[in-house]
Amino acid sequence: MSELAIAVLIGVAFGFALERAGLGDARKLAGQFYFTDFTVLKVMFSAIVTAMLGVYWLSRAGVIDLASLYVPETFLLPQLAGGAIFGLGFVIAGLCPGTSCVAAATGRGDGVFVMLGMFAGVLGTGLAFPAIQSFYESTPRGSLTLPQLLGVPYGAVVLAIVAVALIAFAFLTPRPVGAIRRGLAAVAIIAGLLAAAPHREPREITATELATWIHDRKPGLRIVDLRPEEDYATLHVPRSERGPLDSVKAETLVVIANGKAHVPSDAYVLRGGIQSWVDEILSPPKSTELTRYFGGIPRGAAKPTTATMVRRRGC
Amino acid sequence: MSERSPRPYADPYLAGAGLGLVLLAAFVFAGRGLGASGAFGSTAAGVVAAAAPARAASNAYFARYLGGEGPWREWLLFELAGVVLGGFVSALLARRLQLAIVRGPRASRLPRAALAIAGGVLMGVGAVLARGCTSGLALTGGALLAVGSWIFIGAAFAAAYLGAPLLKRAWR
Repeated sequence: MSELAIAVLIGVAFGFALERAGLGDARKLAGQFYFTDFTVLKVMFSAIVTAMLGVYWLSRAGVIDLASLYVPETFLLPQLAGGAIFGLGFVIAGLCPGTSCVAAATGRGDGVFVMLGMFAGVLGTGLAFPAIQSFYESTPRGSLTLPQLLGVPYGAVVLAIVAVALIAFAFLTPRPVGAIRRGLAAVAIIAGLLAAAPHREPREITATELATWIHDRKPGLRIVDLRPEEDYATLHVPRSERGPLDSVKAETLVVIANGKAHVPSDAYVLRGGIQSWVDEILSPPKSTELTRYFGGIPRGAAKPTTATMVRRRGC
Repeated sequence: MSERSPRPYADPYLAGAGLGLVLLAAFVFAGRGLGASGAFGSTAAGVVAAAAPARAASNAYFARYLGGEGPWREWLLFELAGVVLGGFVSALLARRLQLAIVRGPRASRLPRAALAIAGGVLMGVGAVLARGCTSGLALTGGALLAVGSWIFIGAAFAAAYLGAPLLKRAWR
C-alpha cells in the first residue's frame, strides 16, 4: 500500500478516535481549563501511556526499532514560548488544530474558524520567519529524551509516567471504578512495572570502538553480519563475515544487524548498525579519525554519506 | 431516549487507549507519529510557492516543505484529510452531525467566531515556534519521551489555565 494511502487510513482512525471521545466539541475542551470536564487530560494521557508502553514493548520484542523512530528535537526556549502561546490560543479557541478539523467535519462552524485562524497564523509566522529564525533555532538540545536527561533507564521513566497518569486518573474517576477502566489500569500497571524491572540488554559497542578492535587485531574477535546478502555485498565492515549465528564460537563476538537481533549473552551488538559505521568511520566528523585507523591522507571536508552513496562511489 | 437523539460519547479512557493504539499503528506502519499543524505549514508553503516562488524558496520555513514530492504530497496533509473523513463518519454513525457554532452559554455567535479565529492564529504562531502542536509534538513526542514535548505540554497547559479566568464570559 502506498505511503499516502496509509496516511489517509491512519488519519481516519485518528479522527474517529477524537470524535468518539467528544473532542470535536469546543465546550468539552474548554471545560478542561475550568475544572468542569477533564476529557482532554484523560484522553491525552491515556493515549500517551498506551503508545509509550506499546512502543517500548514492541521495541523490546524486536518488532520495531526504537532508534529508527524520529524523536522530536528539543529547543528549550522556542518550545517553552511556543507552548505558552499555543496554550493561550487553545483556551481562546476551545479547540486545537487536530480537533478543529474534527469539529469542522461534524458541522461545527467554530471548527472552520479555528482552522482558518490556524492557517493564517502559520502563514504569517512563516512569512515573518527570517525575523524569528535565530530565536527559533536557539537553545537546541537535539533529540533529547527524558531518560537521557535524567540519566535513568528508559523503563524507569515509562513506569514513572504510568504512575503519574494513573494517580491523576484515580483522583478524577468516581467510585466504584468500572470493569473496563480497572482492566485498562491493570494492563498499564503490569506493563509499566515489567518495563522498569531489571532486565538484560545486549551489550553494545560503538563503531569507533569496533574500528579500534579491528585495527588492533583484538585476539579472538569475530564479526558476524546478519543483514541480507545484498546489503552485505554493498557494504560491510572489514573482516566481518555473513551470519547466521548458529554455530559461531568466538572469544569476542560482535553482531551487526538491521534493527534488533537476538544474540548470545556474551556477544556485542554494533550500536546503530552499519549506518553508524558509515557515519562514524567512513565519513567521520573529523577525517583525521579515518586516517588514524586506516592510513591515507584526510579528505578536506567530510560529507555525510549514506550506505547507498557509498555504493555509488564503489567502495 | 429517542431513536434520533445523539449517542453519548465513549469512555474517555477507552477512547484515549484507542487513540494511543492509532499512534502506535502510525509508528509501526508509517515509521512516524501523528500530526496536524504540519499540514497547515505544508499548505501555507504550497500557497506561497504558487504566489511568490522566489520568496518561498528563500524562506527557510517554507522551503523545507518544498523539497521531495512538494507541499501537496505531504504525508500530514493526507493524514489530516483522513482525520476529517474519520471524524465525519464517527459523528454520522453516532448521530452527532449538527450544524452549529459551539460556544459558551453567555456567548453569541460573532464574538465566538472572532475568538475562534484569534485562538487559531495564536496556535498557528505557537505551533511554528514549538515545531508542532498537540498531535505531532505533545502526543507523538510525549510517547517517545522527548524532552521538548513535555516542555510544550507543561507550557501549553500552564498558559491555558492562566488565560482561562480572562475568558470566563466566553465559556462559562
